[in-house]
Amino acid sequence: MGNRSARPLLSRVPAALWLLIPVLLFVAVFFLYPLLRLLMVSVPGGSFQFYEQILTSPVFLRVIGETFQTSLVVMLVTVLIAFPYAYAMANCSRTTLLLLTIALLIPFWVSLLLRSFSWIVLLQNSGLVNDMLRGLGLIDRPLRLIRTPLGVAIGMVHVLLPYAVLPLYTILKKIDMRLMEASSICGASWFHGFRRVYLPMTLPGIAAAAILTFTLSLGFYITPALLGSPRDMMIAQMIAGQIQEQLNFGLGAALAVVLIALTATAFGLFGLLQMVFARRQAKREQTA
Amino acid sequence: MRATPSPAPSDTIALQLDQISKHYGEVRALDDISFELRRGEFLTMLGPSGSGKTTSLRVIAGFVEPTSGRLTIDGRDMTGVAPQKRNIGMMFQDYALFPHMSVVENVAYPLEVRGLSRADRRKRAMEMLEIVGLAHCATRYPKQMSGGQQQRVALARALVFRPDIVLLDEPMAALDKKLRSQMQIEIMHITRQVGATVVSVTHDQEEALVMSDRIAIFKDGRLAQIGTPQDLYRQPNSAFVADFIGEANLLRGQLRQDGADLVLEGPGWQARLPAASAPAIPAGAAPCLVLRPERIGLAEAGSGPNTAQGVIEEKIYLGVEYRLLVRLPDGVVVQLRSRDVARLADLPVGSPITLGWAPEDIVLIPG
Ligand SMILES: Nc1ncnc2c1ncn2[C@@H]1O[C@H](COP(=O)(O)OP(=O)(O)OP(=O)(O)O)[C@@H](O)[C@H]1O
Ligand SMILES: [Mg+2]
Repeated sequence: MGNRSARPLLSRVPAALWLLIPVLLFVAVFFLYPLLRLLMVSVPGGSFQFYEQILTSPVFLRVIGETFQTSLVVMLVTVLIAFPYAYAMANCSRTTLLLLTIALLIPFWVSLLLRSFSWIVLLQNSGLVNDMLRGLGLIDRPLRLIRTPLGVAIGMVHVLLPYAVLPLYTILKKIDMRLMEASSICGASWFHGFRRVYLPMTLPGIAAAAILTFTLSLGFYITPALLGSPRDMMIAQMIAGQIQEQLNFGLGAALAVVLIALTATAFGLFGLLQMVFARRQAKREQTA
Repeated sequence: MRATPSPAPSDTIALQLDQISKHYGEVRALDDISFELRRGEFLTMLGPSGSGKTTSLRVIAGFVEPTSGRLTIDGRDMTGVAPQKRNIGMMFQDYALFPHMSVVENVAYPLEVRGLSRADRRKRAMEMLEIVGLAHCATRYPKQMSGGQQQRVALARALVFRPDIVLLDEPMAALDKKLRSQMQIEIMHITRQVGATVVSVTHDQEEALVMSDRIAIFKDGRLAQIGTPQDLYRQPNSAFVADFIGEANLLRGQLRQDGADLVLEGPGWQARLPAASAPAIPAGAAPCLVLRPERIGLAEAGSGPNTAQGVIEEKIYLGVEYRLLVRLPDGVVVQLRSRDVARLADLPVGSPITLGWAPEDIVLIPG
């Protein structure tokens, strides 16, 4: 009876893990399996020809490079806008918090397609933005906003904002504002305290917001398709083009694998960064 | 009562609160607080939890704009002056140390802000850490330290830049008794040395008595009384203050005038003092007699003026003295400390006893 090893193997699995089984099954069937298929399609008969084609073609390399560049810019701008928003959310009354949260989340209820179309309406040559700028006498001729990288960036930042604000908010609301009071009674200006006391404590939040927006940016499809020109194509559009127009499934699959690999690399780098933070944090907390 | 001789505080007014009130909706956190401190003076705020001590400090620091009233520092109106412009050192009730900075960086922060060179600020921060006994912890982070150690770091950060005014919110609450008296002396020493005006909050009345030039007693957001420790002890203006500072027996009785004397009496006791030396008691008030335990002694049997008849309820031998609880006829229990060891040794619990006091030890308060 008391012999533990005699018990069937399965009964030794912690009970809570059983709860994971539906999720694991779902992921296996609907994610891992298609992913494996994708990998197989990208190397027909064990040949790496498509990867060779990608890595030697200037067109593909340029699109990959520009996808990274756009994603970086979008990430920076999103985090820069999200920070003050999250700061306001973390330090306002409950009613204002409710309003800010609703304003942030309402776009989630509207389809991505619709949102991108609204940006077209706003940004086109005879759109609201150009009309307003002209009305104010700031410009004579309409600015080209859509079908430009700027238009793409504006649309992407808008879509990504909640993904940056929410992780930032969870970190910022935990920061004790008494520390800023302590800083100011020590003689520091608000800016000095912000830089030396507040900002360093927000780094984990900034990192989380950055990684989310960056990796999500890499795979953007609808927004750049609607707001950009063919010249500002991002990698996801190219994959779609290969599959839907060229019917070149192999090359499309290979491009998709490259996208996944690049995303994973970016994720890994951020992960490394967070590990460094975590280690520094742990060093501060371990009892010396 | 002072632990170190001090240069007398100078005559210039360093800090003045003029009818300061702070309301949070219905809550009157501060209600019409006025007092002034001379430069170099050490004021301790005493009072029950929620009586407005921290709020007063926050008004002085500039974190809280008073609802009404005026605050002046060195004669300058502080309305609209930001905390960082007030040159005040403050130790927070919950320390508020910067978690991502080491101990020495925390202490050096006010110096960094003031533009001292790296070497200078390190040197001064280390000197300060030496004084609070934490030089060996300089490179640790706040989370790696005990509550008492964090408290001392906070103290070091508040004092390191030699501020004109120092605000201490329960500076020694987390320290053990030995460390506490050591830090009391250090705080007095450092603040005297730099001539700082200090406002300190505490729950420990002994600490208040030891450290303060004056004590302010708070009750429900109001200033119940402010004065030197001696004033508060000898002339409390209310039962609340009498009870708060030191031990006190409070006896309620009937007041009457008897020739040139005032007489306050109750069942089994009578207090008589020259009317000239009594405080003005408003007509109709129910005055109260305050007797300090160490001012009561044994008297000859028989009911004269300034005596009380009772029965010994409890008797505790404390070496040089006895602590006695005596029950008066109406059930009120009086406590006293008596050095009349020889006589008391023969009196068992339950025996009748007569207590007496000198007329000059009588304090009458108007109810
Ligand atoms: N920001 C605030 N909003 C609402 N009420 C407040 C605020 N700050 C303080 N109060 C109220 O003001 C009163 C005085 O608070 P304060 O913190 O000054 O008390 P305290 O004397 O320091 O008490 P303790 O000894 O417990 O620290 C309390 O009733 C408290 O609830
Ligand atoms: Mg307090």
